[in-house]
Amino acid sequence: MLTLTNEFTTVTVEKIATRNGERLRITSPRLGYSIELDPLELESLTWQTVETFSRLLSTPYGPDEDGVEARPLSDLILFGGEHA
Amino acid sequence: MARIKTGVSPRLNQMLEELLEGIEDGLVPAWIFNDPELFELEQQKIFSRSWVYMAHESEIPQAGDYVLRYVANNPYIVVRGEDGAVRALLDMCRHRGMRVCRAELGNASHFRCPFHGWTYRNDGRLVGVPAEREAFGPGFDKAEWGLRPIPRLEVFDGMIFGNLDPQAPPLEEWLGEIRWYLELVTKRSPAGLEVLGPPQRWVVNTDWKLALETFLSDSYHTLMTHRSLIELGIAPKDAKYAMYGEQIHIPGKGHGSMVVGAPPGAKLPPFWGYPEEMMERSKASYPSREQFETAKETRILLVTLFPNFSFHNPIRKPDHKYQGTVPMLTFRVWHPLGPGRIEIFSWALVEKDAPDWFKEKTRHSYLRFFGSSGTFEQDDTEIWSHVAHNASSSQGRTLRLNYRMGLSLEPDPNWPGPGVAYGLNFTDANMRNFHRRYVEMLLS
Repeated sequence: MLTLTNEFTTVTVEKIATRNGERLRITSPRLGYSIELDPLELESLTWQTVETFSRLLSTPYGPDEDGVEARPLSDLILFGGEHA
Repeated sequence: MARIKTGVSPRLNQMLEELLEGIEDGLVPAWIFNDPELFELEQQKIFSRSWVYMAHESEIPQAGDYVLRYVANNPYIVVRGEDGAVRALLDMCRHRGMRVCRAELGNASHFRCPFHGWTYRNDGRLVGVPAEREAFGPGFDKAEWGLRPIPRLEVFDGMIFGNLDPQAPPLEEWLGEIRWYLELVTKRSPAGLEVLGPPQRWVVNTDWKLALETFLSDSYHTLMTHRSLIELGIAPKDAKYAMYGEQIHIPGKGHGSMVVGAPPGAKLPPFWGYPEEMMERSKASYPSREQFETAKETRILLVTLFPNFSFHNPIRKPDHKYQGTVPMLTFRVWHPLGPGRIEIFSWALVEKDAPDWFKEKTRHSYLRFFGSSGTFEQDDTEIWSHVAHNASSSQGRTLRLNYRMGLSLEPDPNWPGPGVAYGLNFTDANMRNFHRRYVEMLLS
């Protein structure tokens, strides 16, 4: 397993054997995400530009959850709320 | 009094007048080496308008490589982008002002602020904002919130300079004729220079102008300050060894150089004692024959750029047992931190195409003499700090110091390089030239 670190984060990279082939597992221990990429996916990374990664980093701590509606806390407060 | 502008206190006004009046007479008031009000004026009038050395390109050779560097009191990330361009970005998040990068060097494609997570690409563009939609809504335009680049950035032969003044003249004009002397080092090899590791840094209780003076004009101190090295047989036997050279200044610019040869009768190898193959290569590399002929006779070379960059390139030995000589090259930034307080940035450099054995030996020559624990370095810093202390004492600050050495010297008409040269290196000519430029900038 390889560990790559800079000032901003740490990731581990390891080669994983599947029953009939192999993949590369990239893990972020701090954020808890992990991905296993096959050679074709990895190859497709080789022609990406920094634009791709800037787009991926538009949510710097992982994906925002879609469809979650932020409701005002006052909705949950009983006094004067819908159940009053 | 007409030459002095208002905007400073009557006290400082009067003191600047005293400094201005004394320059041509070789008298420098001691207070300029430790005064809080003058420090603020220097920050504003000099360090906010001058080309300041930030880094060498070899410190950031690959995409994403960065170092943190400081101009006046501003931290800058000097970084090579994914596009290969070198930029200097103010290390301050546009959201709440936190530093987005706190490591002094590293490699990163993006910088993520530790405060709220705003994330910038290494060309300064803001690309990531946590909870952007909920927090800032549809009108938020990330393009307006990139890291602020330094107003001006230019590179000369691998040397990266920054300037806080958008109206500053181009670097080439700022350097002027000192380029000829810079090139003695930057163009010694067609491959150019590389740093040997990150800079050593240390804080000294002194003034930047005192430290700089040692590298700009004060060859005279070597016979006393560094006497123990002569006694140990490390420096040449003739205690006046640094006198046998030319001292050159560039009028109007504040820059200067000292080119020292071999003391009379001393058998020292030519061309600083660099390996012969390096001397041969330089013949085709130097822009002019005059530069090669000068380099051949040089044993110690110092160049100082106004306001606070110097390099020192002396013939040395890596240790007391080594037979022969191995020169060293150090780049310096005398970075002011406050009145009577500086941080020294010190790099060792060598020609990229020098033999590997030489690179290792020259690193030793550097560390043992001019590294933070180097013998010469320790001699100097001890003395600089006492001078700065005296300069702030109630009696000491009223004294005027003697900068009259070499006042009667005539310029050397036969010197092959540009600038005004004196054939004897025991002179304060370079410092008088520096102070002229210094006062001019303070008052403009």
